[in-house]
Amino acid sequence: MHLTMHKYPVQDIAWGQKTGYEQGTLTINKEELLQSLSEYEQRWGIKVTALELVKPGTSMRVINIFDVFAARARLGKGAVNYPGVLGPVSSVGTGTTAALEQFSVLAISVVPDRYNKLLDMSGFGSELTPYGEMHHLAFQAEPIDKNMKNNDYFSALKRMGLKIGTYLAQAASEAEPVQITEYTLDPRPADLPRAVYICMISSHQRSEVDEPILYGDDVQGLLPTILHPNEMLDGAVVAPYWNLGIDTYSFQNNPAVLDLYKRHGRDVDFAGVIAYVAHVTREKRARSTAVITNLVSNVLKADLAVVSKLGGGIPESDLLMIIESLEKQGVRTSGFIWSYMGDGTIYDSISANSEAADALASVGIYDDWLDLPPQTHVFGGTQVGPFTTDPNEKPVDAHQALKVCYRDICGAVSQLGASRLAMVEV
Amino acid sequence: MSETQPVRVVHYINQFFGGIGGEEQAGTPPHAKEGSVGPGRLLEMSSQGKIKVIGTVICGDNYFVENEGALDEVVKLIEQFKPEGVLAGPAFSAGRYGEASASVCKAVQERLNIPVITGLGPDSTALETYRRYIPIVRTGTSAVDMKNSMPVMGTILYKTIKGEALTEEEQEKLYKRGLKKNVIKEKNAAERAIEMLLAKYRGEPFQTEIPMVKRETVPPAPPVQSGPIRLALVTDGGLILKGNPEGMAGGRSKRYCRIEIKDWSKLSPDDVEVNHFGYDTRYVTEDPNRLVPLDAARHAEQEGKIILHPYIYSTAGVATAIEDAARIGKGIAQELLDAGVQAVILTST
Repeated sequence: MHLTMHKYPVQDIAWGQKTGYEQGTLTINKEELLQSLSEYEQRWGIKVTALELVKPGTSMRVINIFDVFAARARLGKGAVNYPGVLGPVSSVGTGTTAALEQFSVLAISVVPDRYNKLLDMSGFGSELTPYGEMHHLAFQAEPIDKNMKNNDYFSALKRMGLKIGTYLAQAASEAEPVQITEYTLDPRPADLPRAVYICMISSHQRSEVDEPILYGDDVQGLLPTILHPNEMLDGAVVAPYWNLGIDTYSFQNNPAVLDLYKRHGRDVDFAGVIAYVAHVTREKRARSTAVITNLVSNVLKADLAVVSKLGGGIPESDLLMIIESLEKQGVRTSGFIWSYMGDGTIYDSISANSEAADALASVGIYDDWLDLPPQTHVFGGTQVGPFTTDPNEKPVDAHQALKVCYRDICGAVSQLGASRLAMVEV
Repeated sequence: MSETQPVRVVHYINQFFGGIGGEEQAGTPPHAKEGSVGPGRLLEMSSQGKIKVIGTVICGDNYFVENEGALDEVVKLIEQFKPEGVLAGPAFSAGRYGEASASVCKAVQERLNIPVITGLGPDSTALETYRRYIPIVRTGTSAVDMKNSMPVMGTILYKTIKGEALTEEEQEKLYKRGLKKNVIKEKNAAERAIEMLLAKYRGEPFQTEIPMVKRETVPPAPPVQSGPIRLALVTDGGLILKGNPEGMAGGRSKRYCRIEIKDWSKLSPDDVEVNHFGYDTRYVTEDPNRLVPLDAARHAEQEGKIILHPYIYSTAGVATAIEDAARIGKGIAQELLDAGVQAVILTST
């Protein structure tokens, strides 16, 4: 596979007459954008009710964030964006794709959910997440039929976010790309250790039938499967609805894939990505571990594997089981994983224990608390919270200073390893 | 005009540093002396007038670990001086002294709510248990390090009492407390994980960010196939000879005892009793065979199924440091192996 990425780094965004990219500024014609979406609003049953330009360093708080999308468009005749989700099923990862960089589309949900995230563009909260430094177009969309099922609404929100991204990237692609990056594993380097990335893409602790995750598939019964890294970068994977520190942007800009690509030919021979899910029955979990071990050590013949997970506790022990099993086969492993406060000590940080997992990077303590300063502007609603499970606590005005957990901040605790937040011992 | 008043500190030390004597005086009960004693003088001198040792509390190492009330006695003696802070030890790598120094600091911090400090060597058995609760200065393993560690402990204690911030260098001299917080690193987590992976592959040093609990795993012994089996009885339920002639502790155990049973057909409250502060011992005191089943074992012996080892091994398994427990276990196991014992019934409480 050979993917050519035309990159358009966004340094400013503005409403204007013509949607397009010029000298670092993304200009958007709001009316045209809304008009282009109307066909899809009818098809998917939701209506875009508000749009907002979100800039770094401004006193702005975006709330009720459901997902974050990179703005990408596959170029050329017959190219399908997000096959299985926006178009017919085919594969991605080869061809030319236009990409708006340092920019995302934020989907705002009108369904209250404690897993929705918030994003401050100034103050301490903005320093904890890569999204604090980026430009965003945030959109809010509501069900046209008030009786729309949540799952249908969530699915429509995903599609709308991806659609807006393709619209903007398509418009930007009329300009000359600022940077062109080629993603290919060929020619294969000789004499370097073969490395794979083992990436959990869904946890069936909480998932829905018809959730579009892998080429639009809901991965309900998925056995571990091999992907070319380009497929992940080019839109094969959309984040599940259950947002425990994940988003679609971090699959499209997957930090493990990008780092292994950077090291390909220098430190490693990047042998591929294994997509797997967390199952909830003992037999299915054991089967996943066995298949992964076989794919990594016997099919891809890897020497090195880096492992990540989504979801909560079961996937933590899945990750450790995979590491144990691979180390037994002589595959050297590392992983990255979040942690909880527990009893406050370093040894009570995850729900499972394995001495084989001796190289884990931390993506942060998700349930530690922090204070956010007030913000002048709010988009995505008027009230937020409660952030605790205390039944007496009520939602509060979203402008005010807040006490939240790190996990409540969009992108701060990234189970896909995209943020620089980490737990340290003191 | 301004004259800095020294901070008023109480120093806790053992019988050895208190100048009373060595191991033969380890049973010395807690007592207090006005002013500084032994290393306390070094503390005062090296502080250049910032620290005044108003009193010294001395307790024998054995007395402290073997008497349940010792800690309360020590804290009461300390409290009488109304100090602004307490310095214990340094105990370096000494086992009982380290346990005493650290637990005194923890109790003083909790009950008197004043700053405390102790000093322990990196292999001290008390370190893992106490570092999350109290500040502990990293010392050498023996008293040779006294002249280095005492001034550091003094400076840190003084600054803590005065509410002054520690320098980075001083922070480094304290053991990490095993607690945690969130920070922002230079690279993202995926990049750090891959960096670690390569270091591991290349045999270069790396440091995991999520440490795992390391426990010694002991594979079970294969079953004993043919009889009669040489069997021993072992317990961590605190079985002792009547009157506790060996001075066994009721918990925080540092050793085990051997009870000769060759002349007994069962355990009798006339011969044995139970000393264990971790459970309700009334029923097993009434009938010690329900703690260690000597009666049933003798029955099996009569049937020719077993040959009973002539000793019961016992300790009190509560609030015992893992390191001490492992040492006790290995000691018992070695004695049993040397005697050709093939199997053990270990009754735990």
